[in-house]
Amino acid sequence: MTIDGDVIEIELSDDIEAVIELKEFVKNRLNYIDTINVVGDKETFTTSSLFQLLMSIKKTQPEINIPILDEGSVALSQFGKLYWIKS
Amino acid sequence: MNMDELKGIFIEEATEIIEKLDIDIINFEEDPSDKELLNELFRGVHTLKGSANSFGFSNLGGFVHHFEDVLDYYRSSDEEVTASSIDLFLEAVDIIKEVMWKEVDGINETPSNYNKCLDGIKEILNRSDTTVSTNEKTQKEETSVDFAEEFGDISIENSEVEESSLLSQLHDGEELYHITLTLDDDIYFRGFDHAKLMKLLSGEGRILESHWDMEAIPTLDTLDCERSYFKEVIIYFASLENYTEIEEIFEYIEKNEYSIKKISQAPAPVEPISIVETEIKYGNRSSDETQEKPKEKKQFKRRKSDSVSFVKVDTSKLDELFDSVGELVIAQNFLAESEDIQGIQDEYVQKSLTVLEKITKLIQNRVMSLRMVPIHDTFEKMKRVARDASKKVNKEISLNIEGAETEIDKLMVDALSDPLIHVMRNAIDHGMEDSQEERTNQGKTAIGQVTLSAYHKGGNIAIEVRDDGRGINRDKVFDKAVAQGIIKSDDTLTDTEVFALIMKAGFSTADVISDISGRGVGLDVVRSSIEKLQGKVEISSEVGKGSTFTILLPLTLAIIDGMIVETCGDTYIIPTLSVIESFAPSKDIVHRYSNRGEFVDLRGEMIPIIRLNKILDLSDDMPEPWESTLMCIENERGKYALLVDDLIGRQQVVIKTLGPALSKILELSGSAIMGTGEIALILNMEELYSSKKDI
Repeated sequence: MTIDGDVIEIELSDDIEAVIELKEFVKNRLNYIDTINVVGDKETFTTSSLFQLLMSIKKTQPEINIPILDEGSVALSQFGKLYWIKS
Repeated sequence: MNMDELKGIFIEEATEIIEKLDIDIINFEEDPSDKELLNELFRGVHTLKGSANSFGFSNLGGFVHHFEDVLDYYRSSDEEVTASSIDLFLEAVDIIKEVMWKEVDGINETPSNYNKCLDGIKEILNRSDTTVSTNEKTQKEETSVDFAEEFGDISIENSEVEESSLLSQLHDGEELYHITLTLDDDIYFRGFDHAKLMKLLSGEGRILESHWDMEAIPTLDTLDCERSYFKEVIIYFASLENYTEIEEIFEYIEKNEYSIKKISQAPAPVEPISIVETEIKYGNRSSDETQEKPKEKKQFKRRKSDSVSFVKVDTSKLDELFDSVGELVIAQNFLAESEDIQGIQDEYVQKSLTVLEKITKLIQNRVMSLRMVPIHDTFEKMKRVARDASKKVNKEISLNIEGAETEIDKLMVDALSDPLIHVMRNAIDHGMEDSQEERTNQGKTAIGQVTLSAYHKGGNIAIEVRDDGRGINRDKVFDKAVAQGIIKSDDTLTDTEVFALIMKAGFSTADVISDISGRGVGLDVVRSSIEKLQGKVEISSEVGKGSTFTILLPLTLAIIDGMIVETCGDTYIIPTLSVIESFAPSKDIVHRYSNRGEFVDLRGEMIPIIRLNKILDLSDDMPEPWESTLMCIENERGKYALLVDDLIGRQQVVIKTLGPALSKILELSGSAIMGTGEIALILNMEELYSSKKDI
């Protein structure tokens, strides 16, 4: 996880420990975060817990831009296209 | 249980499976028609693949998958497994071992012969592609119909439009599967993840797309990142594999956590498929169908041994149990030997004591038996050792195994493996003649015979490695030992003592190799390993006829059969295995030589007398040998007579380890609590004399 001003950058290779760390970091800073971007390789992901955290953040603070969710899907070279069903 | 503990269990189980693969392959080589064994081999590999992938050992899982393919090819075809294929199988097992340990150590590299082996596997599989394609087709058609009946085909007419688009993306031969994951919320805690399953799937085909139901995901205040909130994840998956293969990916999650459906094109009118006898891949529908069908069933039936249920118990728990039983035995002995209790004139008390003694003995034996395992598995491993060694030195040998059912302490089995491998290799590498011609010229069979046997011998276990090779030249060994200053030229040594010299650490074999076949190489390591197990190695040999290495071991390391002796008022235990005989010498056979010490003439053999009280610095007393007892002991230095005040008797005792202070004393190997409650020290007979050479 890297922080560039009000933009947080995370990677799909983040494991569950990193997800927990991200949650702890984000939960008290929701009002200061503008965007959460997923950077790096888009081949696979390490844990689905990352996606549910992003969705949880979105549900808690809908104004935060999370492109990987906002676009409705993400294409990973090894795992095909992932579609999000939000409701 | 955390992930490290789970991995530990995986490593232990994988190691067992891999060891068994070695054994099964060697046994299969002996009878390549044994399809049941081939199936067992396949099952082992299949289990290993599943476990490896589940525990994140992806490199291992990947390679094992290829190996599984080649085994599947052979078990599904009539093609005979050739010697070169067996070599390939064994090489694959070696690579599996190496890949596993590299992954355990976190080293991300493949073994040097990895690609070569993989090419060999692919070559066989390529063969299979050209020979069984028709059969595959027939089978796939049949399977398709079966699944349609069992699961309900999702035809294109009933499915959503997107499925038709997915079907159009399929490559030749691929099937489309609709997989629904409804993983329980503790899935992360159990060490799994949607990601892990998708990774496994991607190893068997292509994930086209997935749909993630995120409705149940809560807001941040209640979110627990280690709990899954995905109600459902639907995966569309394209693969060449059949339904069963796909389902195996999910074998480590619960049945209610997934479902798989095959999506096929709208069913075309099914035309009856004519079955040509030779096209059938599984089973052989010959004209005599009633006879062949049961045969096929029999092939896939699990082996008898598999139906026996086992409970895995940590050996440390067994040790604790054994210790407790040891205490019970001591307490019972105390009761049995107490004069006060023995003096109670009450029939019920005495009867109860007798019953207690019997029950205690029964419990002791049963607990002991928990640690005892047949030496069979160790012997089976030696088949691979023999095969590799004979191939390496290009000497054809036949390995005979006798007494594999003999039981021995599990700890002993583990420690025995390495020295036994060494002796086996030595027998083949150096013991056997260099050529078959050399053997036949001596009237021997062209193929060398190596016999591995186990049997009980006087409360101990004997493991013999016997070869019918060229034998050891006694005189050459003797001369070499004299030249190296290990013995004197006028020393009188028995054959056994001379042969024992080749196991001495300093015994160089440089000049002797050509004459005694280099038997000294590394044999000191064998000797020291066996001595650590309270055992010893004996060698007998005859030039031109062969050699026998006999490893003598106590049945267990937890109990020792000991001679109880007394010196300076203290009790000591001498392991019976080290004692040749005990005797009270007459005055006329005891001799004293200035500067050379005391000797006893035991039937013409002059044996040095070593006083226990002096070795242990107990006292300066010099009791006369003819008023004492001499224990004739044999160790790597040869025979000596240990002088003790008295021999009390012979008894089995439970070994207790020494505390940190006493354990530094080399002359002691342990202790035991006697029936009287007194503590007796167990003497280390190897160190007792050799470490006090100047006495």
